[in-house]
Amino acid sequence: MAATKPGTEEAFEQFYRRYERQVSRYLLGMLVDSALAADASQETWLRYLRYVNRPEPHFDGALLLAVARNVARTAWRRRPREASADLSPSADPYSFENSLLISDLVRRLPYAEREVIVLHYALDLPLEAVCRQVRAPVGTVKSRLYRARLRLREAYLAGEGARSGA
Amino acid sequence: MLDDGLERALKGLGAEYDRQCTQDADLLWWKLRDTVQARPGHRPVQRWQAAAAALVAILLCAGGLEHLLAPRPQPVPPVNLTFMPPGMPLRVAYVVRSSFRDVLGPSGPGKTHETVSTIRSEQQITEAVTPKSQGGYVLTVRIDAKSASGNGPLVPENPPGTPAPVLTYDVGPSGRVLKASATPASAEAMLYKGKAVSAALMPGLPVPDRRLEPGDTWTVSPAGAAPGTKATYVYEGVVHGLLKIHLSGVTKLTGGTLGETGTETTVGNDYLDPTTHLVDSTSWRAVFTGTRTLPASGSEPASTAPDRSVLQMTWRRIH
Repeated sequence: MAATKPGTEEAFEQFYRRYERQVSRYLLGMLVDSALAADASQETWLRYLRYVNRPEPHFDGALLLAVARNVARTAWRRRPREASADLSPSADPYSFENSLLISDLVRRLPYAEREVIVLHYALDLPLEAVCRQVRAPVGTVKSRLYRARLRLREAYLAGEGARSGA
Repeated sequence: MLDDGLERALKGLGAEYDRQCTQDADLLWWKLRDTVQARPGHRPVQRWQAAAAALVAILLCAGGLEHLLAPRPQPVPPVNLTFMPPGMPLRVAYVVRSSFRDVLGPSGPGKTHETVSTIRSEQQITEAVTPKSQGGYVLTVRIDAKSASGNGPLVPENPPGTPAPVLTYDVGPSGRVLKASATPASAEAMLYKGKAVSAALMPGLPVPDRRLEPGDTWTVSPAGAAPGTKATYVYEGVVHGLLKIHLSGVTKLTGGTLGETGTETTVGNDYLDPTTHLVDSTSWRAVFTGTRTLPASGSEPASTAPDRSVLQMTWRRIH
């Protein structure tokens, strides 16, 4: 691309700096494993570069996230099966402030629900953007968010019960 | 109350992911930039080109022309291999882009496997940097794809019985690659950038502890180290990014001619109760109790009686 138009590399770097963290967050949230997410991140950027390989490339964040989404789905199917880490919750039983705990609970959500949680909360995307990203109507996304929050709440309370019983 | 806490925690998810993220954004940018610069300009595909490509694809599926149409290897462009100042932790990062079909078996007729990966463990890629006396060094890269399978794309798994490709780069004092070679010969495709390997030593990344292994070479210094005395051994093997050395077990030094400057001895793989510490930014010292099998003269050991002296060994950074 650098050969086709001067300044493209600079433009791409700006684009990369702007979206690198978003991609990393999304992939880490979806793949729950930092090494897996790092590989997927590299793959995402390489694939994206292939897509935009034209004389005057237009760098589009939505397309980048769409690529990341495909890469994540493939990586998730191929991931090595491992038990999730046993993380301890915070001392306050009514608080989700323990970030490690919430991160662990999120990783146990079904894939589709986890995706809307990650997009909406970790990437701070508004509902409309989440809908565009997952290609689902707003009602579906809201429903997934609702179910995800319900599951998180139940999982937390179940964990609390187990902890207090132990 | 619980829901409020959940909402707050979810809003902190992004920060938590940032904290857990192990990816080095600058390193990835470095690799992407390399890709951007190496990528040729895009030209729209003409109809006749598409038709020709379809014809070629049909022929390829029919077999026979694949070898004739295989991409011709191109010379390795200069790879900027730069050693960081002594004392800085180093890690060799490789960008691997290749058509591995000739090396590791086809992933499909005419298909290529293009990926980029940072090497995280010695199981995936073992690299060795051997300094040359006249300056420069030889970089040896062994790619064992077996451990990479199922853990992100590196290369497809080596088929059973296939030797792991070993790539060797002879690098001059200026950092230019003077010569590149590969074994087996079929791995030559991996040497070439664009369809190949480029490498650079990256600073500031975590370095896996390296364990000493049988066959590591040591030079005795000073001369005249007698049985039962303290001797200093200067390690002149591969030292890159080595900040800490783990030793365990029972020391046994065999072969070689201890006590003569410039001669070599081979260190066994077992050591006893070492304490290792950083002397300064360029050297590491380990003091441990060892068992040496000492030769009386020449290269043949006259006695195999163990000597339980205390040895001091110093690892000095060579480059």
